[in-house]
Amino acid sequence: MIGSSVSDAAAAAARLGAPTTTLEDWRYVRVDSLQAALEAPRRVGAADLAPWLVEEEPSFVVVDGQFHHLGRADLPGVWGFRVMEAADQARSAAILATTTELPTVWALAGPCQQALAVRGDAGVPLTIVNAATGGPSGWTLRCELAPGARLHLVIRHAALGKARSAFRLEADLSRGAHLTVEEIQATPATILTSQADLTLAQDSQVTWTSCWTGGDLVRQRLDATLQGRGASCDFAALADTAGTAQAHVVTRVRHAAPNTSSRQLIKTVLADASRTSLDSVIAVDPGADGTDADLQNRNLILSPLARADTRPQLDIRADEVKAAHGATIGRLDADEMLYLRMRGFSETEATATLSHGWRDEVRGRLTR
Amino acid sequence: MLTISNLQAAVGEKTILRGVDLDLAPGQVHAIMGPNGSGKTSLGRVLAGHPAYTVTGGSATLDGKDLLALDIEERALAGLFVSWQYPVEVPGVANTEFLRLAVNARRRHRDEPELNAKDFAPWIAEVAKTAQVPADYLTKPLNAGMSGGQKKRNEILQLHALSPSVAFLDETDSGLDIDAIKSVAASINAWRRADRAVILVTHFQRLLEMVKPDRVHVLADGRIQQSGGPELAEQLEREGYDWIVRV
Ligand SMILES: Nc1ncnc2c1ncn2[C@@H]1O[C@H](COP(=O)(O)OP(=O)(O)OP(=O)(O)O)[C@@H](O)[C@H]1O
Ligand SMILES: [Mg+2]
Repeated sequence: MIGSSVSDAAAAAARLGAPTTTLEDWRYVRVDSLQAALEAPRRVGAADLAPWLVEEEPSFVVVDGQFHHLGRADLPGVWGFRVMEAADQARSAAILATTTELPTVWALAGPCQQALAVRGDAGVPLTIVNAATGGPSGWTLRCELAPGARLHLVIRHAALGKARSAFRLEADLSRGAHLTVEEIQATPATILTSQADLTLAQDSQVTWTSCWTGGDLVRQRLDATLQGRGASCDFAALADTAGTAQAHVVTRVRHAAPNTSSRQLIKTVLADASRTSLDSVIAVDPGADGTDADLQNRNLILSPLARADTRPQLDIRADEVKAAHGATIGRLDADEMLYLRMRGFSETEATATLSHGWRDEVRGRLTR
Repeated sequence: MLTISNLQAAVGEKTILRGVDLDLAPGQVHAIMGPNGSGKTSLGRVLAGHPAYTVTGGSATLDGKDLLALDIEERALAGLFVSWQYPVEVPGVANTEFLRLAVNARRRHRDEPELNAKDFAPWIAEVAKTAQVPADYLTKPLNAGMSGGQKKRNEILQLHALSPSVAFLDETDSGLDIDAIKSVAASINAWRRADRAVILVTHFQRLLEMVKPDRVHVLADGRIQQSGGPELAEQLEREGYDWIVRV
């Protein structure tokens, strides 16, 4: 029973070209009960998507793995969109290869393999809404950043029904490029896989922030290869879980060149019987001297039934490496709770107020 | 309005309060003095419902309501304010937001409309003025990064914002500079009303010269050993506690 639903899910994901459960060892995850509850996909209109779109900002929307509409693609001089049919894909790849000064976002979506090329000014963030209404679906976003290019993506994962959504982002950063990603999920009732494969050339930078505050099951995997000297990756994630929700974060950061640096901050707040896990490996290749790597995992447990697992690992094969990792699992401070209650806060209000402060360290990094 | 009779409390096996009696009438100020470790802070905590203490006997009522039967926050909402001798630092919570939530909890309790952040800002700025607390306290995190004296004054700001009916102020004057003691005394006096009452826990006569107590009590060994008028504080200042504790 469990086996068949897992293999069904894997087969569906494979068909869609999405990351699958078999790609990694999701040791803590039981998807059987969640899988059974998926709804059928349905058509959605602009009104359904309105909460996730900001007026006057360039955006595009993918619903159940297919391009839905282009949001505000018409803003002058900012972003240009071009939808290409499958036949155009060879050509679109050529367009990408010759792109120089501007970042290019290239999205490949849906079983019919529509492709979308997006080019634009880095000063303005591009909002991408990944909406799911039901069933399994998946798509891939590919970003190629030319030397010195800047790209700011705001990815909103929106659940409009019980769905399983697999999202993948591949980014290649050329020398001196800077990619900023804000990834937000704040709607319940979905299973979401978010996978990022990042390759960083010399002096390029990634600043990534993910906030998981909804969803039955969220699994995030971030793979970053710091391939050029001086490249740096700054990753922060917040998993805010309640009920029986689960959030699992896997990171693989590989320092493959000298003087590269990585910062990771993974915070969780767990209520009820929710669960989170972090599985991270920081690998430092031979010759990647002067590496500076830091990983911090801080878990705040609000309920005796909640559980946070953490497994930070270091694999260091170079000299002169600064690598630090730390993990804490704690509860709210009893004196702080008492202080608030003595000022009239109910236990629930005091808990919410105190854990809000805890969240802000990651949430404060969001601009949207 | 606050009536404490034969109140006894323990922490684990250790008896701390051995039968405290105190009757506080509206408009009054009572001072509680006493040696270190005599149970002054414990009295405030027991009234507030601190979970470390077990009440082993006696009663405490606020406006006729049985305080000891209420939850911690219900006691606060019923009108009891107990300041902390060493206020806890809460680094992740902004002072203003904390005050707004606390004020709104009270407003909800009284069926008054809650204040949103926009309306609250000018309201609390006025309160800070009345409380004689510098306006920059409002932009800080709750007690975090504040000096001992600043934390005490922040408690006085809460007193003004929350408008309880009984204030138990635990050594608010300790750790304050001379000017700050004057402004805190003025702030307490500004807060006083015919329908409000204050218990001032202090080791020093100086505060009592500025906030005139109706009664002065000496708490020692978990009991009120001596009560009198303001002259008792003067005598204690001159002679210390030895003569009482030996009795
Ligand atoms: N949590 C606790 N656990 C055990 N004993 C405690 C606890 N809190 C207080 N006590 C004890 O209770 C007694 C009274 O302490 P309390 O803090 O009430 O004294 P106080 O009169 O306020 O002293 P001070 O003037 O120094 O502030 C002391 O013996 C103290 O050690
Ligand atoms: Mg004390």
